[in-house]
Amino acid sequence: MEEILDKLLKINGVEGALVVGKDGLVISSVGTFHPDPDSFGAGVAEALNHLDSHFQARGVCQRVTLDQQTGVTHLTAINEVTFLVAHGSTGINLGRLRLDSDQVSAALGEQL
Amino acid sequence: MNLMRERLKVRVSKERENDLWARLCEQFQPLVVDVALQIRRVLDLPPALVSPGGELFLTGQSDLLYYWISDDRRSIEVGAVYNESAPDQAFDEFRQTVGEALGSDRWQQLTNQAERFQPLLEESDAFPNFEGDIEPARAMAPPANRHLLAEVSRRSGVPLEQVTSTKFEANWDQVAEQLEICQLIQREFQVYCRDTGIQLCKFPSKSALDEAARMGFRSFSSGRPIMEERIIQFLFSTDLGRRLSKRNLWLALCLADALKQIGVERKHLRWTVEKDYRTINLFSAFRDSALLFEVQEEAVTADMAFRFLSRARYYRPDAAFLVTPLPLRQDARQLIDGYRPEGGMRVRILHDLSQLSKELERVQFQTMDRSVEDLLQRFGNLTWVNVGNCVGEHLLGPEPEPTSVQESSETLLDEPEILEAVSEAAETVTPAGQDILDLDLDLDLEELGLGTSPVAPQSTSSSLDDFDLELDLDNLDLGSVRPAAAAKGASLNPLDDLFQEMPEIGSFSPAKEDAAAPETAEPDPVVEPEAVEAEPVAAPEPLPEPEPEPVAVEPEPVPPEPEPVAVEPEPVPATPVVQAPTPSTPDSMAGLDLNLDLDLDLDLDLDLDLDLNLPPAPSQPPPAVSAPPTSTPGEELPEEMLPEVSLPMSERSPEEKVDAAAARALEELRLHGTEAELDDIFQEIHDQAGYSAIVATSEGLTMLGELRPAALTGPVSAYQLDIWEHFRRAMEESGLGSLQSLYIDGGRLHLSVAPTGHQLWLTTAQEVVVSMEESSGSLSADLTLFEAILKKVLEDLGQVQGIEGNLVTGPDGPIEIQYAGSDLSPDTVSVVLSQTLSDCESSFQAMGCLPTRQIVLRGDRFSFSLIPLDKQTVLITILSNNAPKDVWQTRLQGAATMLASVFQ
Repeated sequence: MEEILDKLLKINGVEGALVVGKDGLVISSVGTFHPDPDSFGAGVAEALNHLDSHFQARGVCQRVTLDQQTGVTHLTAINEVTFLVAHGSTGINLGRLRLDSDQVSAALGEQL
Repeated sequence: MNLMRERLKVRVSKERENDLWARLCEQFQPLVVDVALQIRRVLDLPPALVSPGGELFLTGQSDLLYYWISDDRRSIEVGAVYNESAPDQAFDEFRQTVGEALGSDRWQQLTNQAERFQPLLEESDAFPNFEGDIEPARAMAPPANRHLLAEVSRRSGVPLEQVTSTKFEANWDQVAEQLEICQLIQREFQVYCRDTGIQLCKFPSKSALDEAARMGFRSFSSGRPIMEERIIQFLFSTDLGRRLSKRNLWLALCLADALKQIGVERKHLRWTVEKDYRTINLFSAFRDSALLFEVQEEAVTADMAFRFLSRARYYRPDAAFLVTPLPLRQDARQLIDGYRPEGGMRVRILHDLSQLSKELERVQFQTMDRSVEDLLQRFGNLTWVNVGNCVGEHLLGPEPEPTSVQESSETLLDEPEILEAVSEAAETVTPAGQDILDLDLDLDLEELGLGTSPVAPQSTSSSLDDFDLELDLDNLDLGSVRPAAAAKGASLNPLDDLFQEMPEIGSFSPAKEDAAAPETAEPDPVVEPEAVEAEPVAAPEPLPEPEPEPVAVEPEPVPPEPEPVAVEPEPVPATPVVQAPTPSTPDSMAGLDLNLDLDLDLDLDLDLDLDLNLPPAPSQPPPAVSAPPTSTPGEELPEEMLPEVSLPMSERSPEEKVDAAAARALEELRLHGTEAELDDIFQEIHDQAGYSAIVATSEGLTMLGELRPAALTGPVSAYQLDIWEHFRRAMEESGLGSLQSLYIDGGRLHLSVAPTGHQLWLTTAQEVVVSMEESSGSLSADLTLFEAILKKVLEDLGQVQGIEGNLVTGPDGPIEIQYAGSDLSPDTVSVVLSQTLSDCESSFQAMGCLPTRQIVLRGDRFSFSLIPLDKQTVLITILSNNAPKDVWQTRLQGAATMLASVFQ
């Protein structure tokens, strides 16, 4: 699983990638996260659950991109209960991040 | 028209031939030699049979029999040329007579195929025994069958579902069954439980499965009949299947079978196989014709067609067939249709093997015609009749035996002092070391006063000026030149040597008289004011070979009209008007016997230069008549009036329209950024077939537009930035300049990427249809030739305006560098750019641009074209900044194709 996640790290600006369940438990991670992957994963899961509950009229989220002052976080649904999270610096090639995340997500989906 | 031939190996002396000829004439009507004999009979001359080496005889209505003796007289060939039914009886009698006359009957049949097929035999292998393979090969005719067998052969034991393809509309069960019947594959049916996925049982055939189902087999876990469970059909290829899965082999077998059915023997089937059956050439002999077939099961490209024609030119069969089940692409068809073979070779495309018989009949018909034509041409020389000789012999008696090898004249032999005089004269007047007998005289009649007549200057025609008389003194027959005269003239002007002291005309042959009389040997000093019709100029070829008459003929003044008995020379269609000689022409010319080897230009250029390399005589007065002006208004060539052709310059090609629209879009984006109004411009681009454009953000997201195909819009938007970044950094860090725009030709796209400022990128794309097939052949030559081709191609490229240099680089660095400039380091260019190209391969793949055909990097100082030649070799061309598109798109691609052949 980590080998698959490593593909995202090849994108310029990507700092880390992880797989997290909606329960907030991190399944696998590569790269660096602040303060740590588990905390980051738990925070992302919390945010996702909020989004899903607020916007449930249109179904669950498939992709979410958080554009922040010092970085970008991109979330891609692997299945109903698992998400792929990648984060990186600003100015990252979002188009490539989206495309590669989709591919990684599909590959992970077969494993999970 | 048909031809049958046989050969008898026996020595045939001239006497035996004469005997043979006489015997055959008793039975058949001779056609060639007998004509000459008939003339002799008419002229009451004794018959003279001269063993011609061959004769044609007429038999029946229009059939011909012939014999022909080889040059070394060690064999004789006999044959019959006939139209419908073979004259068997006549030919047997003919052959029997020949055999009896020559004392041998070991005849050997001859065919045209033996001559044409022999070179093919040496370069090909025997076609393998294909008994038993025909039915399986025929089963491969549908493309779906070939696809299935190829996939199964590649990975044996594969489920049917994994080897089917939506490209073919086929019932794959039936396809598998058909292949199984032909023993190309084997099937195994495995039954799995739908619930647990456990394998329940397996059957070696469909019939066994059906039998089990009929007997009520059920799943032991679910209790359902096995036919309701999941049944997976596994396919295994057989040895035969693996062999026939080779490309084109099935088609070659079908062709061989078709040839066999129309009577071609197996021993006359040969073949060559190249590049893992990508090219199969099959050679065959059908009756008298040698045939070349090339089979191609896939769509024939122009490259394939070119290679096919090259092979046809090389093997030179009677007919070359390109056998393909698919229609040819337009370019390939144009190439083949435009081919004009030499030697009457027939080049055809064959889509349907049922037409083979008809085609071969046509080939045979054509081959026969050509063979008969070749045969009859052999007799061409024998049909010549030396009428002049016969007439001369009739009038003057038999020709005496020549007493010397001297060719020109007996008179000269009788007076050996003449030779001395001529020799002396030559030594006197010619420069040291120059033999007069080796001189070609190029006489200038203007200087001689013989050209344009002062009497009738108006009638001087251009043809007169164009009279070109070359005198070959090797063949100069000086006839009765008096030694004293020759010696005397030797010290004077060379013109005097030749003309003023010329003796009386001796004897000369009628043919030469005809040729020489109108121009030079006019004896009558009386001025003929009007232009006279030139005597028919003797054409050298059709005349019978003139032989010097040894008999002294009463000299006669040259008559204005030819003698009635003289051989009528072949009239020249446009008889030139020749001005009569001027009165200053010396009378002594009448005594000249010029056995002239005249090279008469029909333009009759009378501007004859006497080129003896002699200093002009100081006492020589200027010519009375100066040379005419080179041109007069009346003689000026008419100007060719060409129609004015107006080109529709206002009509631009789609490419030009897109380029213009892209330029406007770029300008708009630079000026207004995200506020740019691009809808109309993009619509204009999309209106052109295959073209599209997008605007992408620097984040790799598409802002506007959609590519064709639409699925590539996202990947192109995202990955083009990576490629751009790679090359930008590579160029800037290596001092190659700043990247301005990028052109990518790969996969199905031609992409032009340009930054617009404002963090936006404009990408225009053209969807192209490109054969994804690799080049189907490579040059078979040694390394020296490869290197020569490489250098030659690069040198040629270097001559193109806009190309600064060329580099071919491989995995270990530059292979060939042709760059004379000093602004760039070729090593750096080759290493950096080829490495960057390699780094970008994954991005090209993501964009659907593999295989990459060309990358053009436009920098601020130079542009660079990168063309991958193979997986490891790249042609890098350094272009000037303003190099036109035609150069880097057309010229470079063409050169790269040639280089790719070298490296493959």
